[in-house]
Amino acid sequence: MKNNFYVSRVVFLLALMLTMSLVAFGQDRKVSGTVSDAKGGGIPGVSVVIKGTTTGTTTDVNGAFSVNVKSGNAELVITSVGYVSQSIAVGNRSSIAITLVEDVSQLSEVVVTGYTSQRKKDITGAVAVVSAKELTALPAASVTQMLQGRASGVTVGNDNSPGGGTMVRVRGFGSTNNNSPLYVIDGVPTQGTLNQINPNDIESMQVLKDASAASIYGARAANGVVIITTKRGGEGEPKINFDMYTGTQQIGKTLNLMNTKELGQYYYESQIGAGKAPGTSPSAQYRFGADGSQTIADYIYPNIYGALPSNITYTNDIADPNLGKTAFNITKANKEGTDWQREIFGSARISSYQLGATGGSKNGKYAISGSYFDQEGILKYTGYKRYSVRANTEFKKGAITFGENVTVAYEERIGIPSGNNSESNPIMFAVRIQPIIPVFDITGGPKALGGSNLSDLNGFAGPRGPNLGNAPNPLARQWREKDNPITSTRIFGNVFAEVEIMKDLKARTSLGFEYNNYNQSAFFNRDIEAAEARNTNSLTVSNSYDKAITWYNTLNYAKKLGDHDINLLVGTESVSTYGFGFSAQRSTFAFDDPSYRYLNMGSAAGLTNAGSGATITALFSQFGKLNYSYKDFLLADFTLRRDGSSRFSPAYRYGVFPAFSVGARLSELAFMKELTFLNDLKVRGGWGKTGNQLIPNVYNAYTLFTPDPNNNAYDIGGAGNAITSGFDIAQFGNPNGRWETNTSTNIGLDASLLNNKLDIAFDWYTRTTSDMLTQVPIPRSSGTASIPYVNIGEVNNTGIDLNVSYRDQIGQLRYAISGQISQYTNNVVKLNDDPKASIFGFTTRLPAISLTRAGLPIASFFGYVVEGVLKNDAEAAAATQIPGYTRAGVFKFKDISGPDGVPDGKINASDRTVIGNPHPDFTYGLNLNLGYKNWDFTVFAQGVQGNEIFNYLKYWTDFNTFQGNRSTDMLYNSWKKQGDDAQLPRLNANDTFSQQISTYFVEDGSYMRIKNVQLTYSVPTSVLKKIKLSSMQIYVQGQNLLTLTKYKGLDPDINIRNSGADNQDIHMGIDEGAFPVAKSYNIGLRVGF
Amino acid sequence: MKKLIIFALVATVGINFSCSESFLEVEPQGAASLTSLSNKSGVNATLIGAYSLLDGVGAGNTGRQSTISNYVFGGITSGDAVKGTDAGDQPEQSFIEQFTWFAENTYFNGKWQHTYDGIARANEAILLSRSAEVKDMTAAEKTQVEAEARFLRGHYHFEGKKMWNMIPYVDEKTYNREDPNSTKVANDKDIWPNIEADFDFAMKNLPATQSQKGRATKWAAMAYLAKAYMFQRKFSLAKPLLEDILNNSGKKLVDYHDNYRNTTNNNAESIFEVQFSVNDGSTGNNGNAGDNLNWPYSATAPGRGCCGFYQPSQNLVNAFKTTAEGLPMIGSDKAGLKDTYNEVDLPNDQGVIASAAFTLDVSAPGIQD
Repeated sequence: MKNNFYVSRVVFLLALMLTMSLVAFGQDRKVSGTVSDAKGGGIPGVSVVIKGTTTGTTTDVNGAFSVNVKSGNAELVITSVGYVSQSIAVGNRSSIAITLVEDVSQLSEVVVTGYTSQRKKDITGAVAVVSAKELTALPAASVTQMLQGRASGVTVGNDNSPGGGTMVRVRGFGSTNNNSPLYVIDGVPTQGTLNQINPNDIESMQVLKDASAASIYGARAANGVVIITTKRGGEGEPKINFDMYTGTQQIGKTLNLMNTKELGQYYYESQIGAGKAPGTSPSAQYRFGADGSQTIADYIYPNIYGALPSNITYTNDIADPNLGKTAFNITKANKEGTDWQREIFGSARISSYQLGATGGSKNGKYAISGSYFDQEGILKYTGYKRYSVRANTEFKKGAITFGENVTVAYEERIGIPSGNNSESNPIMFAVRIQPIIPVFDITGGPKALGGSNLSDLNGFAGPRGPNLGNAPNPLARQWREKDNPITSTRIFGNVFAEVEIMKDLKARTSLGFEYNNYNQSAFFNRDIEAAEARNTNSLTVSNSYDKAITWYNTLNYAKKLGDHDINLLVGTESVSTYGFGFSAQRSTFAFDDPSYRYLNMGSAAGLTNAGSGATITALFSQFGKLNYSYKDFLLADFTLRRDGSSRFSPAYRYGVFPAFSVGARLSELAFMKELTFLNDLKVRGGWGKTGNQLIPNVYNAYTLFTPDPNNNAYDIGGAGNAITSGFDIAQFGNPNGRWETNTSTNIGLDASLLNNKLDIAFDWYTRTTSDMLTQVPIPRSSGTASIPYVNIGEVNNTGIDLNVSYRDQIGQLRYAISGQISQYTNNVVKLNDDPKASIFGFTTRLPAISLTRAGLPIASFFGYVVEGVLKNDAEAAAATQIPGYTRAGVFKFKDISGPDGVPDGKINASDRTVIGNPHPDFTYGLNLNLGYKNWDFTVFAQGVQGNEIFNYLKYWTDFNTFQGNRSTDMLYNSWKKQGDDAQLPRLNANDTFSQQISTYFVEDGSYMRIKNVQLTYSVPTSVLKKIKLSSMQIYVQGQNLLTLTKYKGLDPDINIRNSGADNQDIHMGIDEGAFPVAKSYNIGLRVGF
Repeated sequence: MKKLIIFALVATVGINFSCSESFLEVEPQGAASLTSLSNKSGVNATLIGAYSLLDGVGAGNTGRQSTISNYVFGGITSGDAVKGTDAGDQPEQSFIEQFTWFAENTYFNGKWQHTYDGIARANEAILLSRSAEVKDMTAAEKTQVEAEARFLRGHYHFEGKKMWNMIPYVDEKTYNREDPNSTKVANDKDIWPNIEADFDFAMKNLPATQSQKGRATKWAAMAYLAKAYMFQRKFSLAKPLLEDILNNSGKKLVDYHDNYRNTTNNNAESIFEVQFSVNDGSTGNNGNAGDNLNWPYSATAPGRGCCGFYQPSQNLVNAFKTTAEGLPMIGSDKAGLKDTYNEVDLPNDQGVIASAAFTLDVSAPGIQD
């Protein structure tokens, strides 16, 4: 029946064509017209063909055409890459104006999918194609930062600092080890921040998500592959473009902390709560009367109530022998209170300028650009600058094509001192330092900051006086470290040659290279005002570099045999990498001037230097891939890759990674063709294996010994100042280590509906990592040699990716809505044979917070359950007793278990349980475009739902931690009297127990952020002609204007500790003082000459 | 032309295939293999590695937890000192001070890790010294290395024994560097005999003097063996050893204060000392780094003020009181079971400026002149 239907359909088509060819015998007539885009600009190079014939023409530079048609019912078929094709009946008209709509579905677009390219509509694996135009709408240093919310199946965490790292995770977390995807830029693989690529140079970006798509990169594809192609030239006259934007960024919300008076009150109440008599002075700066009345000191260094004694003199020299006796960096008390969070942040500029040219002929094409990007951090005196140059050229002569893609970039980055997510960074210091400390001492600070201090580096106030805590002045740190940039030079690219050996058979060779060089001269000044002061200055110079060479050779045979399309690729690839670094330090420099900051100027005493062994790796691979399609209906891919890695011992060196996928374009079935609302429908399924070899220790197979002056040298001669160097075992080797394997299954569906206006892509997947390479804790009775990575355990991620987009026009109003949702469920199936085997995360001042164990998601929060604050004595008496702690007004800890697995009436380590999950239920992105005539309006929102954040900042703000500032909650929402339903325990200076890792710290991390709001005006063609420009756009933009969240910390976008580094994913979703996102307002201009 | 290209291509691919094996052989950089250490200097350096942990620092980031002063487990718990500082700074020390610790307290883990790292290093030195690959050492030299290593192994086990009593004993027969799980042995035996055996071997094979002050001698091993006996109340076994040291070691008592001064390290009274060093090319890990928080709690204190941990208590001052006979007042009640020194506080110079005069009130109870 179906077959009959199909046949009848074919007969009908044939009949139609015959009719049309008959019509073509009519008389010739000239029809002219223009083809323009929605904004009225002429589109050059558009194909205009008379339907049913091969007769036609292409439009000229202005989009104009003229063609001879036979009179009657002639129809013109207008096609152009990137636009929806149109058929237009000529009728009696002699002039036709045609407006083409941009093709959002881009089904016919050709995308690079690993060594070859494929039509997007023929892809049967799971591939997310990201629109470079949408992506780069967001100002940022690195394209990875822009990826957040843009591709389904991709989870992105930003560290928000200028030039900072990004966590990119494709389809969950496959390993406890390193889950960073592989990036392939113009065929050259790399791993890292992608700071080397100017986002504006990117033409297209694809994320290969499942094994059937990615396994062509076998060994390194387990975490997904991101393929980036940079812009290249096209045939035609040169196009010169200038792009720029500039703007200003600001801090969003800050924490509610106490002012000077409130903090004094809190200290006092805490002392009273600890049993001190009324009227006790809680610290040197606060005096209290028996009635609770408060007096604040007038000076905090020296600590003076009233007028300053006349014998006190000012000094800014930490070596002054009278310092602390009669000489002081005299500091007044700030009785109102310093809002430190406002002091360290400020408005910051961001700007980018780029000039580029593209063009070429049949024999040669080029695309070159130069750019400058400059972003100041909202954290004062931090920032990132990049200068980059790119040149892509390609030459063709006869059967040979030769070309290169290369980018050279130079960067300067002043990151957040002490790093992101660190208790010693300025953000944490601003939270911890007391409000009674002003920013500057009586000199008002260095002249450059408006003060009168004779030193450029002094005049800051700090906690040097008694009871002022140990958090130093964060602004002083930022100011003094503003001249310590990390500079890097990066060269990245490839040269390639392609030969058409015979028709349909091409050979290609590509030599890729990456070279990164990093330098830093970090000078640390003496800080007279600090409580734990640096008594000597010091300079640390660090240099490191790494390089990678990738050489691949492929043979590609593409042939159409009747209804069968075959594309066969075979190839080999070798990758070798090298990395090396060293650092040296001297101290006691006579002067602090920047011109003096060179090692030889420092004292040789206390000189240190360090340079550990180079990191060398090699990878060699052979691979093959077959794409087959039958009549556009049946599509199939088969991939096989064999990799050999130097990271494993010879016996386990090689891994073989097979994959396949099949797809059926159901819309090609005859009965489907009847469905007018359906333009394209494809179902697809795939299975495959990929590998992961990213063990941080590239020499994992070997047992090694190292000397180390700090840890295994000894003053065996008893001299007191000389050591004899020793050796100890540094690592246990695992000669049996082998590939971590990821097996994934993907089932998906792509549909284009309603005249290609609605596009839907849906994928369901499950992927299992087996032989996971992990360090499993061993009995610490075998010493401290590092634990080898062994193949154990299994982790599963199951989830769905969904993309929906809709585009239409109502009169003059164009609109497009697109959205994507990504969901994954992460589960550790097994670690080793011991079901209780655990991998803990990092310890902070609290023991490890994260736990990875069978049956749980990776890095679950693990601690005690707090069931609120005990309201009164009766509740306290009924609660599980903790000796010396339990009474009315303290936390009620839940008795969950005892050593025998049942509650035992005691609170101890067996009562710890899973208290939170850092993985979201789903993440999403929403994009709305509205266009009217020459105006375009875009809103982009992105969000995360259902994850939890461990707010470690509360350890500092909500409990007795050092003598620092606290949250206002601690003063106002702590338990005061019987019956209070309080948020926090009673104030008690001796309470050390309440701050246990508990549910109190765990917060809902869900958020939705309006990431971009942009209004663009495109100057009309008529105006452009007058001012002799080919295009011009002006836009204004607001970034991160609104974030909806219940999270109480500075910002809910919490990155892992050190993105890009290994072993970070065992500790995630923990806010340890993360750089908050900036709100920014930008204005931009794009001009085409 | 076309044939040439095909040939070139095939050749390229071919070369690419054939060179792969050597291409994938990468020698570890910046570290020594066992082979490179299998000689006299390697053996000695490994032994230095075992000595290096005597200060309690160097076995990972455990300095404060495993410092040889054991101030957290000894000083603070005994009442000689208080933890000091703020309640929320290193709260885990507070739990130990108050005897309310939980099993996950990192201080215990750190001490444990350090103890067994010392043991592992001693075993490495023993295994390496016995290796047939080491051809440039005499049998006597090898024996001396083994004796020093066993002395150290006894010391580290002793540290663990004091902490936990029933702990696993790990010797060179148990320890296997090829299998990090080899040391997973039961803690079902009292290991005093093993500790004694290590010190006994050291005592019998070490020289009476060493040219390097930091090395263990026969007398050091003997003293340590006697200490092990004393801990077990085997006084009759300890006494002859202690008498032997007193009479034959050549050591003599010095001014008591000199045992605590920097300038009189390794003096005539010294039998065995942990050697600290500063400005030695390291970044400061060898100069009693485990006690790096133990300062007066003030930024302006003499030297360098800091964090205010490990502050002496009145209890410590009182403990220096003696009876009329000059004996400590520990276990000094009539039954000999109860300490009486805390019944009356001893006046002291706390709060008196250092330059001001202070005279001890000798009439106070318990003060003998």
